[in-house]
Amino acid sequence: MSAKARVRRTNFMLDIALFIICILLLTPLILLIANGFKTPQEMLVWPPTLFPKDPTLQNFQKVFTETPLLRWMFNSFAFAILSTVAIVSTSALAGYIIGKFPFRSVNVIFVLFLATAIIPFEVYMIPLYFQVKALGFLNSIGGLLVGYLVMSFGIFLIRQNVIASIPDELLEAARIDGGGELWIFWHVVLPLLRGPLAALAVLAFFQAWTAFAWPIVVTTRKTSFTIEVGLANFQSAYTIDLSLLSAASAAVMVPSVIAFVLLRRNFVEGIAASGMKE
Amino acid sequence: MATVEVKELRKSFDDVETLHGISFSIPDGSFVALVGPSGCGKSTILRLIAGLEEITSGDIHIGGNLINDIEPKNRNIAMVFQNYALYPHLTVAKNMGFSLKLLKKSKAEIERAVKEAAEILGIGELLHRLPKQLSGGQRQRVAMGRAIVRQPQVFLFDEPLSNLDAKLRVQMRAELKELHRRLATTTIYVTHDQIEAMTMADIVVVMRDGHVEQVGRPLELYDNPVNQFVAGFIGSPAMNFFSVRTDAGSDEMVLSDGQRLLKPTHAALDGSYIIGIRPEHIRLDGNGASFEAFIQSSEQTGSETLLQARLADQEITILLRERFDTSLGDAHKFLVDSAAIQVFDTKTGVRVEP
Amino acid sequence: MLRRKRFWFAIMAILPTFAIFGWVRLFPIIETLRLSMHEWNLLSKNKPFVGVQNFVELFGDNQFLDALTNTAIIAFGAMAVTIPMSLVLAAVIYHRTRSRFSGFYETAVFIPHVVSLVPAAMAWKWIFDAKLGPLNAMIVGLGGDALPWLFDPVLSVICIIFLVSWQTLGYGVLIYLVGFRNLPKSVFEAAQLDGASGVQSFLYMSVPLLKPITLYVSVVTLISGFNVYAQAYVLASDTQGAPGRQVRVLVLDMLENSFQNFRVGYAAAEAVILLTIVLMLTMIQFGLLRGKGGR
Repeated sequence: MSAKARVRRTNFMLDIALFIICILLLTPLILLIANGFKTPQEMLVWPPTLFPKDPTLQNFQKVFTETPLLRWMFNSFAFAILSTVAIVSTSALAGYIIGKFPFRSVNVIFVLFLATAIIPFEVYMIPLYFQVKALGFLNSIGGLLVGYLVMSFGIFLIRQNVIASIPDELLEAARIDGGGELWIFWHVVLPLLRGPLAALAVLAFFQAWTAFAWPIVVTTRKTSFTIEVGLANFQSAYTIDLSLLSAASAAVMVPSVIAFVLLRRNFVEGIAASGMKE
Repeated sequence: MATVEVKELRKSFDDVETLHGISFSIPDGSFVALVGPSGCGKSTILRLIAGLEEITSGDIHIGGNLINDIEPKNRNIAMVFQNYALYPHLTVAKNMGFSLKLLKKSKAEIERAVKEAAEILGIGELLHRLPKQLSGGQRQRVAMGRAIVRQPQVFLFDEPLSNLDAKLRVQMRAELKELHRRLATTTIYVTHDQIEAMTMADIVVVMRDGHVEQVGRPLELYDNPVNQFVAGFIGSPAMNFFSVRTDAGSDEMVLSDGQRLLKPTHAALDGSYIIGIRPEHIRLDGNGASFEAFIQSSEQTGSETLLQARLADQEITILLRERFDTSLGDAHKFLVDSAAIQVFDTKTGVRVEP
Repeated sequence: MLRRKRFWFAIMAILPTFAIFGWVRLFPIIETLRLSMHEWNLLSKNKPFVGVQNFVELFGDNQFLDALTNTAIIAFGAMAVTIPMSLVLAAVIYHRTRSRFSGFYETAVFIPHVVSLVPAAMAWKWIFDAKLGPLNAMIVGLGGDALPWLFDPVLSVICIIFLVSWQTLGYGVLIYLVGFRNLPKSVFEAAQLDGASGVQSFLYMSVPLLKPITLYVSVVTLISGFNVYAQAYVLASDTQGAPGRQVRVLVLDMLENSFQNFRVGYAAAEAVILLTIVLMLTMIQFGLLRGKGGR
């Protein structure tokens, strides 16, 4: 077989293998969605069916009308949006200052950010919880927010970008032209940071949307659950209704996936940047 | 027998054809330079011969065997890349021995072969270093060592000296020539520097825009370029070109400013032409049928004088093999042997044969 | 003069962020360190200093040791599965970059990472379900015995490792893909000419050249493995209708100690141990990276 044909055959086999692997990877999620369409009775059948014999929308209907899922979605969404806004603004400003204003006090602050960056949230969330409790923020979006107001990585990302793509001369020129510092930040710096800010926004949203340990600690009342927490605690009220559970999970999952497919570039950029922070 | 024969080679990238039917033959053991401006396709040809790109149409034979469908590793060739492409994580010894390791040769054999190659190139001391610890010239030698170890039938060089500084380049040129003399392996050498090609090669292939313009010995290309492009590409400083008019009956040619030059003994030159005069063929002359030009700049190297002058509303470069004192704006008379004037067709650029 | 003005702007601008940071990050971290050396049962105003007593007690506490072991097994297990698989997968996907399906591959591989933890765990919970799940159905269909995936102490840990790996795979592939794209192309051409096949190129060139990335992904997956919580909570817990056996992980143990056992100082000590592990792993990464002279 000629070299060209051999290469083509190998590529074909690789494509097939990749295809199978990708389908396998997605199978659990596909099954989950399929389960959402099964009747509760069908879920208890053995051996289990993969796809519903008698697909029904009743689970989805129940999930949205009889469970607090919509409320949870609202909570999660509000929390994520607010967190994203907070993180993007603090990161943008702090990153800019640290990147372009090398005063000693600023550098000390940077070192502090750096030193605490690798400490996982789970390590210090207990004292934070007590703070939130003392302020009466338990079971509220505010309480959730407290843990997700700043992102060290966000500050680094902006700092890197500011250093790499905003020349000092540009800022000097703006200053000479009479621009105030705040004006410069708003009109000169921010527009140049559009790309990284978008990537950061996606990352921050994702982080808040999928947070688990903190929300589960901060929210105890069912109406204040986020989606993650609500789903995880689904059982207590809805006993062994796996189809309903699957429907709820599917309802939560599908928007995330769609959002990802649409925003893939920003997402990938953000995550790749976090990988290259070394 | 490691002859290389290229027949009607074509290459297209995404429907854009970049090589338009290239054909040439390379005798066994010769050193052939592929020269041309950037984008002419010389590197592409090299990569096709190496097997790193797919041939769109045409044939390549090495040693009489058709190699179109043979994988690079089975073509018995070795290549030295422009940026050396050394394996950054392996020592010099391991870099050079990699191909043998893949062939499952014994450790002793590999060591011996690597040592031999290192001796020839003078890098025996560097065997345990990593590429990043080496200078440009040393890396280049390691790249060559890697190629030599494979004992290929054909060496391929892709602009190997372009990343070195001028002095090192001159030194390496000599060493490469010496290496070729010693190993007598067929070598195909791609470069954009015509001086390299002229000084190192037995045969030069001049290319432009995916076509072969001329193939021949260096001096042949210098004396008898087949068209204006080759004439202007080969030789440094470059040939001067002027438009002239002449009549069949007259034995003179007229420049655009009215000055006249003796017509070279060509039959039936009639009409407008482009003539080419090499800077080194122009002499100082005080009298007779010469032309006058105004000096614009003069550079003295001690043994030669390089003049930029103005003639017929154009720049003309003159290289005098003597010292010559002159000032800006001075007018001088120059003479050129009519036999040294080359004539080209205005439309096609093809040289008009004497 | 100008410099002073700029200085004040800088300080003013960064102050809000720093203030927030101090409140939600610095202060809690210091508090955790402080609390770890005190005893507090949430109710009393009294928080007596006990020095290292909490730590001493932890190392004799079977539940803690159990949690620590489980967590370590999960973290290292997930890493051991994720690294080679994502490397190979990334290599193959990179090789097929020019295929029209490359976008599909990259997206599909990454979706498990994007799906939030709980729905993903739900999906797998059903699959692993001993009585109702398709995994056992398949095993029985092939003639084997149904296994109590979520009950058996060993099997349930394996299930969690599986779930965590499945989620992390996409992340690993992504980072490796970036790595592959940054590898010098000519080095691979030289290897090809030297006679290396695709597999040989991968083993002798790609893998060694990607060591820094391997190191980074290892540490990241290890650290996030040590922080595992949601997966254990959902997958192998008995708060769901489909029961499983509770797999104790560090974070779970810590929260339990704090809010169910009313021993906040004790829990804080656990947090400090978790912190120490994370710091050690990061140090090792830096050390190894520097040792090789970076790249």
